[in-house]
Order: sequence, then structure tokens, then C-alpha cells
Amino acid sequence: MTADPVLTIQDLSVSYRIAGQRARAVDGLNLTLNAGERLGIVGESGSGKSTLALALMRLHKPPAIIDSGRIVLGGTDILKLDKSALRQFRWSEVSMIPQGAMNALNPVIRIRDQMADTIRAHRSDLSGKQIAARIDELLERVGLNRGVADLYPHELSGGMKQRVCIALAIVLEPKLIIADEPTSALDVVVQRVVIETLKEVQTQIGAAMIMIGHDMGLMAQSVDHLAVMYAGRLVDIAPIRDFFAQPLHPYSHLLISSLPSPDETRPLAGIPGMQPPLLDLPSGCAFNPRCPAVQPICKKVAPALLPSGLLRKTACHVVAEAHDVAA
Amino acid sequence: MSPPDLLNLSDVTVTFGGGIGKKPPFVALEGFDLAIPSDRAEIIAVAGESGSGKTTLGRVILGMTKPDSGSVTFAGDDIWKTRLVHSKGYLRNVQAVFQDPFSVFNPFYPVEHLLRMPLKMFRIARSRAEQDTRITEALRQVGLRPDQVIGRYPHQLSGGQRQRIVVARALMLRPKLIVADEPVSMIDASLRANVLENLKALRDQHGISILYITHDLATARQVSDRLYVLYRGRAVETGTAADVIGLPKHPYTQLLMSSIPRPDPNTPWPAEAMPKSEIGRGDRTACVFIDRCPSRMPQCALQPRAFALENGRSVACHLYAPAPSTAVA
Repeated sequence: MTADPVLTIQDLSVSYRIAGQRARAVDGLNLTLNAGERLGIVGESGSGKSTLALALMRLHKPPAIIDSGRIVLGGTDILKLDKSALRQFRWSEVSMIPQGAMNALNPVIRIRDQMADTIRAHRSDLSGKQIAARIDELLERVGLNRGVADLYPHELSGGMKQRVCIALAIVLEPKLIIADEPTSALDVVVQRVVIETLKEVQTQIGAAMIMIGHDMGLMAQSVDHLAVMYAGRLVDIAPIRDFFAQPLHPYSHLLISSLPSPDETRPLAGIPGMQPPLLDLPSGCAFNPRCPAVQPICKKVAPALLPSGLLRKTACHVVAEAHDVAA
Repeated sequence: MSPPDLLNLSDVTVTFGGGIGKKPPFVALEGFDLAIPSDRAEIIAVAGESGSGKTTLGRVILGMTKPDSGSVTFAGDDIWKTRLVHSKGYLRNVQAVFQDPFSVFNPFYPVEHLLRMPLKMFRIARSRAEQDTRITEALRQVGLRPDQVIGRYPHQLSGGQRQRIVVARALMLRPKLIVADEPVSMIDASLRANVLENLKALRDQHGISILYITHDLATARQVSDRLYVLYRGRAVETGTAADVIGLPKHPYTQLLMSSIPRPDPNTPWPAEAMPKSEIGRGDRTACVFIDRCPSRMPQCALQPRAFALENGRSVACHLYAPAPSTAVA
């Protein structure tokens, strides 16, 4: 069996041009993703995770510009597509469940017509009957009653609307689904139903998935690999079990220990300091002013993302040194 | 006799809509009781899903929503009958911290203006020097450096900083009670701890009680003394936060606890505890949780009253009725 990755991102940089300056929101990012794989990306607001998601579909808008890099999905270099090819490519090859997606449904159009619209735009070969059958099938797949098709968005609960958005995302069976905080406005009970629905349909169609968020608990339950972004850079990536069993990057460590637990009472621990502004990054490692394990070298040289274990990579001088000694 | 409660809600019901020839009204809060004592400061968490009535409860306490029935008293005075709710004094004593720290600021004014205004309005500090002292003191207490934030505009601050400024603003007025509606849900996890620590400090150092409205049971456990779990407008379980979260009794509280994604890939979500479909709102003579309850029984066709258990705990569920004959309240 070939293990050709479905998605390859090479040295991707995206920046926002503001007042003659350049803020690197995504800086030299490399990633590969296999079919059926689920990758989580976590980071504080402003770490570049949503910019990355938009760039993957070339949905970023000025002042954001892709400075360099390659994004190859299923053999197609996305950055080389012309306008009309890009239109066909979006949604049929890669779809997105944006943040607050449920509020993106048109309030005055029935669910059926919104779904039919999406199918017709890409599949002019299907008859009305075939489209109707497909809509029924999709709704059932996400655990909704067929009758939902004839309702307006305001007649649905938040969780139901979010499941309609999942149905829309898989309408053309894309190779990649990007979910940007897919459950941020939902309570825990509905959140679980939505995430399980999403995992189920993603497995059925064999798509790869990128899930963006900041809820570490949700990531632990949802993804196979977890990547951490900080100030535009990928600083840590590992299989989910290894990540939680033994976090390597000091920032990952703090992300886990700052989680409030529902199962025991213990003092709350935040992460001291703030993420630096992108236009005024400290020299060396961007995390060095907040890092509990900071070394003199961290203030001078930015660490590269280096292998730190089986299927793991970490951008940290301290981790690299320990790994070298061990190796 | 002990002094009257700081705040007392008795049998409060709030409905929206309805009327002749229309759909039946939507019941946002039903038969709700809450007592916040005046002799000690407490953090009381109110948890529940969206639409459970938590925000309506906050609005009732702030005097922004008048209940259809039931009474709201502040230090023994009914706030609507005595028109206390329309006085500046009530506004000063009961302050609010809202969910979205991005929309509560007027973007045209620097932080200083926002903090100076209430001091002038409530005539707390007359001279400029006195106002300055109050402002710097309050900002320091929430862990902000006054010189770094005071001249800034809202867009130049992070969500965590803004929310702490809102807390500082509430603190300056020395209120008796703060209603904090999802104060940390829009803030990065790493900064949540700071804001929550600030709330605890208000209770411990300034004797201010806080109603902490949230859907996050993990933070509720860490900061609150008592917990109310709301479902479709009813308090289904109340007690100390440690008791209720540590050993949930109501099937809904149990469902909530088991749905929290644990940050451990080796502890997956337990087996499906609820049907996948979300059921519409039925009539209100039956238990509000009947549609989703795994332990449904015939007597659930009648709404259970809140049965008192040990340690000030109460559960509105027939499973906890003391004896079969008392099941129907």
C-alpha cells in the first residue's frame, strides 16, 4: 500500500501587510496528512491557526498574502490553480466548517434549497430527483430526520444547525475537511453528539480532517495527532497519546497543566505572560519570555522544528539537546 | 433573628411570548428559589446548556427583566414593589460582568474614561486625585499595570486584559454582588485562570458575592462554593459545588459530567447515554428532563419537586423521593 499523503504543506508563509509592515501569521509551516487521518491544531488566539485554515482553501483576503510555499492536496498544487479551477476545487476537494458555521446558514431559505444549491453548483449532471435523494441520505448520515430539509434554520437548535453544516461539508465527499472550532458555541452534551457525528462521517468518506480549536479536552477525544502553533509557527506535533502522556515543548506542558479539572479541586494555573505581538516578536524563540525552562541560547537563536521521537517533532532547544544526548 | 438575605429569589417565573391565539409562552425560568446570605460572601455557580435560563436568571437579578411571578428582594426589600430597582443605589450594589469583553467597550474612549465615568456618576470620588487613586488601586488588584493600560483604547488590549478591566471597574464601585455571565468563555484558556483568580479575590478580600453563570463545570468546581444546575428553566440539582460535581445525582447532571471531554486520550467518552435526536420542548406538567432521561419512570409524568438531601443539597427527581407516597408534590 502506498502511503502517499493526501495533503502536503511545504514551507508555507502567510503574512498580513499592515501600514508598510509585515506580520507573519503563518511562518514556514510544514505538514503532511494521510487519508482518514485527523489532525488537531491548537494555539492561543492570534497564533495563526485560523489564517492557516483559510489559506488552505485560498480563502484568505487582503491584507493577508501567501508569501511562499506549496500546498498540495491530492496531487493538485492549490496555489497554482486559476480562478475557475479554484472554484471547482473548493468544496469538491476540500470543505470547511468555519467557526460559528451554524450562523452562516441563510435564514430565509429552507435547508433543502441551501443544500441543493451547493450540489448543483458542482454536479450539473444530477437530476432534481437524484439531488433530493442525496439530501435525504446526507441528513440521515448526520443523524437528522429527513423532515429537517423542509425547515428554516431558526426552527433548528444549535446542535442541529451544526449537523446541517457537517452534512454540507461532506456533500461532495472531499478529500479534506477543515473544521475551525466546530463546537465553540455548543454545550458539552450537544458538543459530544456533534463531534461524534463529524468523526463518523469523516471516517465513512475516508477524508482527512484538520480540526482547529483550543479545547485540549476535546482534542484528546477527537484527533490522532496534535499540533501546537505559537506566534505563527508550528512548535510541537505528536501522536495524541504521546502528546498527553509526555508533552515535550514547555508550552505544550503548560497548555495541559493549565486545564481546569472537573474531577478534582486544585489551584488554577494559567500560563504567565502573553503571546507577543507578531510585529514585535522577541529575538530567538518567540516563547522565551514566558518559558519556565528558558536557556541563554533561546534568546538568540530561533529553534528549528526537529524530530523528537517517533512521529514527533518539537521546536525547542532544550528538547533538542535532551534528544541528542539520548540518541 | 438573622439579618435578611442579601438577595432572595422566591418562586420566580419568567416567560416570553404567548398570548391569545399564539403559541404557548416560552418558560425561561420556573419556580426558582435562590438565597444569597448577607453575612458571608459566596461564589454561586449557575450551570446549564444554552436556553436553560441561566442568562434570564442573571437579568432578573440585575433588574433588567421583571419576573411574571415570584419575588426578588435585596436586603429585605422587594426590588420591584419598593422601586429599588430603578435607583442608582441598586445598580451600584449589583454589578455585571458580561460574556463578551469585546463588545462592552465604547471603542472611541480610552480605558481611563471607562473607569472614571462610574466614579463620577455614583459620586464615589470627587477630586481627580481621589479618582486616580481608586483607578490605579483597582487595576493593580486585577493584576494589570495602570501605566500600561490606562491610556490605551479597547482594540489595543487582549480579551483577558479587557475582561480584567471590566472586573476592576466593578470592583471600584464596591458592590455587594456581581453577576458574571460566562466571564471567561471567550478568553484563551491560558488567561482564564487569571480572571477566575480575580473573582475569587473579590470574594475573599472584599467580601463580594458572585453569581457565576457558566456552562463549564470544570471551572465551576474550581471557583464556586455552591452550584445550581438548570435545565429548561428549572433548578434540577443544587448543593455545594464539590458535592454536586463530585457525585452528581440528577440524571441530567450525570449526563453533563459524562459529556465533558477529559484531556486524556485513554479516557474516552463513556458509552452513549442519550438518544442522538434532540427533542423539542414538550408540555411542562411532566418532568422537564423526561425526553432525554435514561431512568424514566411512570411518575415522571408529573413534575417532581426539589427533594432535600444531606448537606443542603436538593435534587428535583423522583428517584430521590423520600417515600413512594410523597412522590407527587
